[in-house]
Amino acid sequence: MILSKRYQEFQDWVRQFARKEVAPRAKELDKKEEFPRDLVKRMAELKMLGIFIPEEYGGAGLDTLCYAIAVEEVGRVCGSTGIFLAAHSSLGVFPIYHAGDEKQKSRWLIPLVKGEKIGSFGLTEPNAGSDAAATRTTARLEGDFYVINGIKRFITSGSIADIIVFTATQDPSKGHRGISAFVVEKGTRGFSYGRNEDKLGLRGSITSELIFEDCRIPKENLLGKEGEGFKVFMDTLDGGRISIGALALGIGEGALDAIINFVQQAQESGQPLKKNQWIQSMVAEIATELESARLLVYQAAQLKDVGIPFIKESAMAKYYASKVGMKATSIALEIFGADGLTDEYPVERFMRDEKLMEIGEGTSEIQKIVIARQILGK
Amino acid sequence: MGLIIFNDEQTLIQNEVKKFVKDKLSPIADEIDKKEKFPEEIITTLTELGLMTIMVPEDYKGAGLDCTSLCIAAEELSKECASIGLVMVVNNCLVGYALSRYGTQFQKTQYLNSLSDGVIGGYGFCPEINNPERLLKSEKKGGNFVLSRGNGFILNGAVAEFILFSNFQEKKFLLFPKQAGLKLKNQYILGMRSAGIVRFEFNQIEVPETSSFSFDNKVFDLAYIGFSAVGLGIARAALDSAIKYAKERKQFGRPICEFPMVQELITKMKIAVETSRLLVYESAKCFDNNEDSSLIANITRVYVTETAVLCGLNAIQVYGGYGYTKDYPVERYLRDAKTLQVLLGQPYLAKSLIAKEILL
Repeated sequence: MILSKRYQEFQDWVRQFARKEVAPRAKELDKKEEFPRDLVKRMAELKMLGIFIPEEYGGAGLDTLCYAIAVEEVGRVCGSTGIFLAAHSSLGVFPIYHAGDEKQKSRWLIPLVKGEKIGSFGLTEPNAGSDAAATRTTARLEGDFYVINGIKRFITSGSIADIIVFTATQDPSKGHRGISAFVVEKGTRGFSYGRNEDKLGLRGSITSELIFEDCRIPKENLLGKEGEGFKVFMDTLDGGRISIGALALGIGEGALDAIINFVQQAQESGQPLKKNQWIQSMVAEIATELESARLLVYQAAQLKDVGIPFIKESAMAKYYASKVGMKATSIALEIFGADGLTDEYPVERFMRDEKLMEIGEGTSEIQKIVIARQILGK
Repeated sequence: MGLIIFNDEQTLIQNEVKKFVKDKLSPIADEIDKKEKFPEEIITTLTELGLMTIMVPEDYKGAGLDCTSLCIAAEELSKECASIGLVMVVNNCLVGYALSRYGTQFQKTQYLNSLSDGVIGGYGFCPEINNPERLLKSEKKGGNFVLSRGNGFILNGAVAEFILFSNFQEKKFLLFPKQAGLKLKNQYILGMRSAGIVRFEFNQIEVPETSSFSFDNKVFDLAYIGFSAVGLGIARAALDSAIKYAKERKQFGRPICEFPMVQELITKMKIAVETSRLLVYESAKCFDNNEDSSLIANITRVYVTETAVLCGLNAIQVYGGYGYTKDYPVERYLRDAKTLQVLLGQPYLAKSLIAKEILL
């Protein structure tokens, strides 16, 4: 795909940033399970925390394609920093921009975009995963407050977030029509965090449980209208899938970068490894699949930018990019052999990080259902 | 499945190992994995049960059993804890069998005999595909092999008292006690984290030629079959976990096992596991019948370790977000499986051996 000059320049710029400033930190973030606050600050300075948000709200005033390119390039060197960027932008910033009123935007959106606050998104619950409409967290209106009770799980950046968009139901019997979206701020009474998850990968990103116990939030923290929360979240996820597709692509490309670097230097029985046809076959296959994934991701982003429905395309982008990305990272280890199992090379980390891309923000199975429904009808 | 038929002795071994796993290993398997340390106590018990020397000839105080028995034990142990299965397979195949098949009388008396007393042997190797500066540099000087450079791994290295090092350049196994000049590192490794795998660098080490012996592919045929039995254990564990979870976990008002997309994930695992079982025991039978087992061992190694990886990936997928956490064992199955798949060499090397056998 030929990117216009504007996008190429952006790509060069963000790639430089990722390679110079993020890449040297990646191994250590994974090892120490350290959240990169300094990188968040740096990305805020570079206006990377609100790439697709208009300048009037402090954003970069760019578009979804630039955003996808940024997540891809950051993910290419560090999955943990990539998932932070994707979650903060698509799940923290976007729903407030999309569904918030002006007052809410000035209160929450601007500090999020400026990186003064960290954003997060609470949808998943212990018993509401793929079945997101099964939300059991409840909201009860009492005077000027909503009283919230319930537990959210697997929330990216949960325990470090300052502003959390979440769903709760006012009437479980109404299914998804009973669900509304709200915002809770860190420090609100009755709102606390459970433990952080100990995960296979993305260990430099925080995943937490959120606990609401008679948590009272002011009425004006309702995002959109009552009963329309599910719609807000589905719209959010349609866009979020583009960024997870971009991240899956980036991690896969990171593995391919490592393979290329290794194969160009390595020898087997005195012969350059790059001349080995077994290797050539694997590399060609991975490279072709990742290139196809890139087309799907960029296409979904462009559709969103021009305002054409992109539900099917974003689901395809995430489904395919995570699938071929998983394959690429897995094959990377098969090319590196035992050396690749150690932390001297980044490939085992890429494989651990990539597995989440087939799960988070809608599993591959859910993506296939979305795609099939778009093609076959409900 | 009627193709795999165990004789009385093998059935006895299976029952014994199953009982040991249930009574002794299961209660602490989780702890062993969490600690990521070589489980010395369990290995001592395995020695007492004769499993660490299951294939060592009776003349050298071993159990003198066959490859099928080894696979039965490896499969059952690995279903609970793949690291333990691997330790046992390495000790039997790459140390015990190598010594008994190729070693001199002195080496056998000295080293092979000691295994049944609880001495653990290590298997060392340097990966042969890398940047030339990292590859093994070995020269013959006087009556010695001089190893002046090389980055490698020692399986069972954390506790091994002696090491069999495969010098592929010279087609020789070098036998030496843990000694100076061998820089050992406890480096991070993706999986098999309780198996005591250590990294080493050679720093000018000399091994007398008299401490070396030649080998052929037989020892690796056996090792690949043993590794595959470990992979089969991991794959079965992943399959069992996925089945159990899919029946328990409810979404959209019903157990997720009722959804065809989940069924597809699990049936793929099941088909590959059943096929893998046939391959493992078919290749073990070939080996035991003294047939040329090179082709079947390589086929088995490629297919079964790939199956283990597939099962690890699919089990995590069935568990969803939960599977990505360390609260459940499925993420470990993936890490162990992937480690097993590439530890002894790139899978394409095995495929090229298969191609050589059937085409060239």
